[in-house]
Amino acid sequence: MLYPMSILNGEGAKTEFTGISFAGKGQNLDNGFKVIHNAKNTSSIVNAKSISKNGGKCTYRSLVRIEENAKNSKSSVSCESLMLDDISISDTIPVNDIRTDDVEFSHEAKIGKISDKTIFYLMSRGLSEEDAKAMIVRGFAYPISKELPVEYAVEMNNLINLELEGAIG
Amino acid sequence: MSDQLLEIKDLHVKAEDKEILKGIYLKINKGEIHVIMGPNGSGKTTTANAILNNPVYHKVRGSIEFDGENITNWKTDEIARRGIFMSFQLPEEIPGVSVTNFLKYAKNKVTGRPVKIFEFKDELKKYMEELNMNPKNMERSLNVGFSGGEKKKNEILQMLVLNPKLAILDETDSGLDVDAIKTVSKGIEMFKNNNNAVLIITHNTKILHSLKVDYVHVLVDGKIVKTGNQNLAKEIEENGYAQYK
Ligand SMILES: Nc1ncnc2c1ncn2[C@@H]1O[C@H](COP(=O)(O)OP(=O)(O)OP(=O)(O)O)[C@@H](O)[C@H]1O
Ligand SMILES: [Mg+2]
Repeated sequence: MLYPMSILNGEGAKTEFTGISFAGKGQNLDNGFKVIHNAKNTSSIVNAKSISKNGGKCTYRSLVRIEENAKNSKSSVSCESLMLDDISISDTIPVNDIRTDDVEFSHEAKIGKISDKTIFYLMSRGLSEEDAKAMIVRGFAYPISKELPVEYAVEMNNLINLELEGAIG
Repeated sequence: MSDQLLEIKDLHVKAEDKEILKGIYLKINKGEIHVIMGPNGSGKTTTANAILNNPVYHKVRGSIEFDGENITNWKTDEIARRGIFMSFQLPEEIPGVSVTNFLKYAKNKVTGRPVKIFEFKDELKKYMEELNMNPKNMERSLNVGFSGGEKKKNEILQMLVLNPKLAILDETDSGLDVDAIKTVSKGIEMFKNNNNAVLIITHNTKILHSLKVDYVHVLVDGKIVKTGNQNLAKEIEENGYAQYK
């Protein structure tokens, strides 16, 4: 469990959170992020992704509180989850506590499952089922991995391939 | 060495308990271009999917032989690596995977060895010029936000790069403007040689004008009811399918 938190106390303070979690069999990953806007012109960006497979469960909790004094603040939260099969679970629990009108706030949550059609398409191009899934997951994670220093991005792709056994490259 | 590439015998296929194909026979030799025409819902896309053994379609009876192997129950990726390619009527979108990376990866898998980067880039550039494709699209996510026509050209590009022995083109010409149809037939001509074959599924005889078509098959209600030469396509264009129903 991991719940980092930012409190934006100074005028114009900014925070950005990017995270990805991968829940496999028997795992229940409960993550989230909290941000409190407590001054004028503050901004926060949250970009969270989760992947679950083999009955794994990902829960994502986000809390965004924008205080009355935090005029002209901005917050954008995006949570996207991908399930690799029918037995995996994904849940997003957003709490938005906004106490002033003068803000720009957006929250986007998307939950998707890898489709059999997409797998068939990739297999018809010579990819095994595992390769196909790993490619879809790497693509899903790409908006995050491209923000990482290259060594970490490589490591992350290796982890994805490892999680999805049999996929190399 | 036999010239035969594909032989389908007495193929019966079901999906969700619906009987779709009711005894398909089809033989394709190296060097040939075949065309399947038929009314909407007659089983054309199902035939293509059954050849590539899409698990959604259940084979009740019959067999498919390709390049000397009985591939009836092979996995889709094994069939692809053996040399069958299908251009999809509705290509899938893969966010976060660029066209270039996808092609490189697929080519690795199909050929079973790592692609040589410079050769690959040159090859890609050549094909893209021939197909009048925007090089900027190569770094975009595969098919994501591509127009209908761009997706279809992308399928032809994949065919050229993967260089299969048999290319099945499922309505690759649908929804294309006149110039794009010409471009696609140019792509087919560029691909075609004496050792491979093309199976074109279409509703439109325009794409056939510049190609040397060997056989036209009419598929109605899960069966091939007539086979002829290019004139059969013309006849259907004029008279429709009424007489075959
Ligand atoms: N997965 C499926 N489950 C149930 N029925 C299906 C499935 N796929 C296709 N069918 C049905 O099988 C029949 C043949 O479909 P198919 O897509 O092969 O037609 P087609 O000849 O390609 O038509 P079109 O010219 O419209 O593309 C249709 O009646 C269709 O509804
Ligand atoms: Mg069809």
